[in-house]
Amino acid sequence: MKETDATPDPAGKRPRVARRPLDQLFGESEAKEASKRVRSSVGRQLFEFVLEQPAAKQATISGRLLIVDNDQLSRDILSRNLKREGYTVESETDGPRAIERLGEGKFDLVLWEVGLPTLNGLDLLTRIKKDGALQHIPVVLLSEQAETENVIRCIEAGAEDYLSKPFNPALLKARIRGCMERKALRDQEQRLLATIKTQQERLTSELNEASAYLRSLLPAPVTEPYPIDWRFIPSSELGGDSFGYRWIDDDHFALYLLDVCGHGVGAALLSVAALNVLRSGAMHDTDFCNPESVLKAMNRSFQMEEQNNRYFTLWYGVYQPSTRTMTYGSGGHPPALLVIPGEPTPKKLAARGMMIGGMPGSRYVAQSSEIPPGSRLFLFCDGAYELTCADGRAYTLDEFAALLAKLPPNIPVDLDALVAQIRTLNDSKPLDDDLSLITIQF
Amino acid sequence: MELNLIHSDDTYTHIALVGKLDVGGVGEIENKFLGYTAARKKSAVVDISGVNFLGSMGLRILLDAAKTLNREKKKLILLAPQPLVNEVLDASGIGDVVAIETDPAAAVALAQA
Repeated sequence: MKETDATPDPAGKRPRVARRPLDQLFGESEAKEASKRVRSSVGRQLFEFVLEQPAAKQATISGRLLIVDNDQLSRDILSRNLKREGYTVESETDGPRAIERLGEGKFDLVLWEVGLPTLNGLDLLTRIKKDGALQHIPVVLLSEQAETENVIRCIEAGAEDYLSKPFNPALLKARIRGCMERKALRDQEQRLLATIKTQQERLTSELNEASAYLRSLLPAPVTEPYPIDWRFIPSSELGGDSFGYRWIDDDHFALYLLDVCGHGVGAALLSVAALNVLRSGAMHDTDFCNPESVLKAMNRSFQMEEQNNRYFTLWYGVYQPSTRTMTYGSGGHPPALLVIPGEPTPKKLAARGMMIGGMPGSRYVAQSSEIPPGSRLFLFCDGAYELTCADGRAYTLDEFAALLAKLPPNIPVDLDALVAQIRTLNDSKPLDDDLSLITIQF
Repeated sequence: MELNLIHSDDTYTHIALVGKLDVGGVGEIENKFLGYTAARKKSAVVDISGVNFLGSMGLRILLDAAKTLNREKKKLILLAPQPLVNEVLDASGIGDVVAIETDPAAAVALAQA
């Protein structure tokens, strides 16, 4: 093995690193000395790699160029010079034909005679800047000294650069190289933008799918035996609220709403996990007719340290038609509001209890309330009333209760109108939090 | 959202929060807040008289700090909540792990106890 070669791996697959850069930089004898000082083969490879970088930057930029000029001599001079630089060069004499060639999509740059009789530079630029398939191709104008005014108009119309005849080889080389480098950067930017767009579309599609799944878990509004309607408006693509209702047996109707702290994907995932437990009633040693039992079991199963440090609030109630009573409990959730006919202020169905997942072993104490005929229950998350009014004042739960009390009693609640009113109260600004609202007419 | 240090010694820390403790507000002060409370492992008085909104993410950092301090047998004391903020605290049940005081001297005495 030669001392100056990199050591190949046993399979012989690793590329050998030539000592050429060392020689170029130091001369042969100095290179030998430098290489000897870097004793390990890995170190030597790294040394050679670093030395090769400046050389790599000087590499020829390749590309395909189209020269459009009806002057034979100009075409030949340009073509020879540019081919020497490593470009692939083709030429045309006729403007419309050249436009057709550009449409083939294989050219990186076009050099166009500014005064070409069949299509002058300005007309060309007007035409290709309107064409989505051609507008990215840089145009370098070829001009006579006397055509300065034309060149200025073309530059203003979007030409990349210009070259005056007779051509200076060094200037030609530098300008074409500059144009190609800018083109390469723009192409790279376009590729990155396309990648970002694709990823964004994929993400949006997946979020929409997740949102559809979450909505599919929510129960449909019903009319019998109690009309129930709801609205769910997440503040981002995915919300952290979810809710449901179901008959546990002939005399126990469960109703619940949960609100995971924060919103977005993280909140929605926990929300779905918790909702599925409540929907299926699948939890060990839990009496789903008993709010205390449900809250305690949910708190045991969803401790925030095991749920990416997220907790949720939960209001869980069970209505018994035989006794017209609602037994309910709360894990840090705002009270439900019961609008009773003839009573000016809604009754707050509030119960004390720590948010679910907040602390192991938290105690939950259920409350109960009679549900008089004609009563209307509103169950909602804090996003329904934590609003900022136009004057900057925070809207309150009591104000929200007063708003609900004023709704016409003998017709179904128009939830769309109510949501519109909530938005207006929030100074018509986008809601900061998810908004869930359920109403039941007893 | 502002966080101001009022006092800090070997027995307790006293800070004040001012502004809206919502998602944005929490993002602005979370690390500093947990640094002055949970990380110091000293009882902490948090003056929240200047907090005009307490959202779920705000509750989360209060709970985080309180639980960490409780494990160290220390206390998190919330001082002088505005009525609406007090309603949120009350509904959340966080009172099981934090003390709520209206009098600054009583809050400091509790932190030093």
